[in-house]
Amino acid sequence: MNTVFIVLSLLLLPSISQALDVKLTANKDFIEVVDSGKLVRIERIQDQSHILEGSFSKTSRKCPPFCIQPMIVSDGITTVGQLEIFNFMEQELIDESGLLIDARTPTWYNRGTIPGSINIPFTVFGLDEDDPELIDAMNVLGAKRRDEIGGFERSIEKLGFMSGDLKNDSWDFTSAKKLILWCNGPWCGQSPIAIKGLIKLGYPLQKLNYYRGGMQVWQSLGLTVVTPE
Amino acid sequence: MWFFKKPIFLVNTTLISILLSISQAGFAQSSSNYLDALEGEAENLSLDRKTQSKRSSRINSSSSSTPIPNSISNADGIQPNLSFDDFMLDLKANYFGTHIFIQRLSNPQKQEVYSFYLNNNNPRAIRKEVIRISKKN
Repeated sequence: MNTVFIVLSLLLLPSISQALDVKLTANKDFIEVVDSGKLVRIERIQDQSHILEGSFSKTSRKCPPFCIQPMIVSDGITTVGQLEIFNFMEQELIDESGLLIDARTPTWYNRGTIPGSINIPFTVFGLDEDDPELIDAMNVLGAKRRDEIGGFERSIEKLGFMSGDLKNDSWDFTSAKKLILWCNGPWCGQSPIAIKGLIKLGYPLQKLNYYRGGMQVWQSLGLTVVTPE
Repeated sequence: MWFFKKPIFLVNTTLISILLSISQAGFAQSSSNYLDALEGEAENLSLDRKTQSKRSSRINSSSSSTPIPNSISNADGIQPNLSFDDFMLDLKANYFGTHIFIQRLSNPQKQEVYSFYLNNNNPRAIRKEVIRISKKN
């Protein structure tokens, strides 16, 4: 009886633990994010003999326009990697203090994106400050378009009072979210253009992050993608 | 003041204006070329099949009072054939910038936008129509 119990336990043990061989980190098999109201599990491909298929297995694209981007997109902007994104997904995305932004055009986004991402094409951040599409996008980011404010009030803000460091003549960034912007990878200029557009609008630098690896590195690590509905 | 009437000054000013126009047109052209290149590259795009997700069932996330749209560009359009009040509520919830602009319009102009929406529910087209109407003021 004892022998039967031991054998059964040994047979059942692997299925109970279901540990993955290829984890996200040494002590994290997978994470889960909400995407389009559904729970998506982000994990890596477990087949250790798998060779990457699809468009992101290409090594070369014409440069220009698809040129290698610098590690630092602009002074004061942090470049992040996958581990920072996983932490972001488990903290800022859950408490809604942050957004993961796919800055590519809709054609790219609709073919597949990183789970939990929202799509704001980089072109939006080059629009005029009074353009409704830009105001919509900035509203999602937590930034509010300001009406005309009095000179006295603006002077007080410029002295550093009334959260003046988070406001300019056009925008109130007091409730601006922390952002990670990404695009196709180290050869893609879409998210750098978006980031530079946000800097020009006055978005707080400490709230901007650049995932330079983008879809290229995400795919090369065998990480889960979703296709928007 | 006599200097500004000098022919050489006028020629230089004209030359600078022409060069600025060319550089602006060149910039617009290069932006357009970049977008064309992007769309061309995306045409035959495919991702690795083994990375496609397996979604779990829908969950009701009620933590946010304002649902964040997945896509700002939103080519699918606003839900068609909404009542005027529901149309305005949808704009307020999902297209706040457009909503702000509409609030500045007169009631007949708001109805004009609503009539436009009944024939074309594309958010981009609606935005353009709102701007066109607002410029009449």
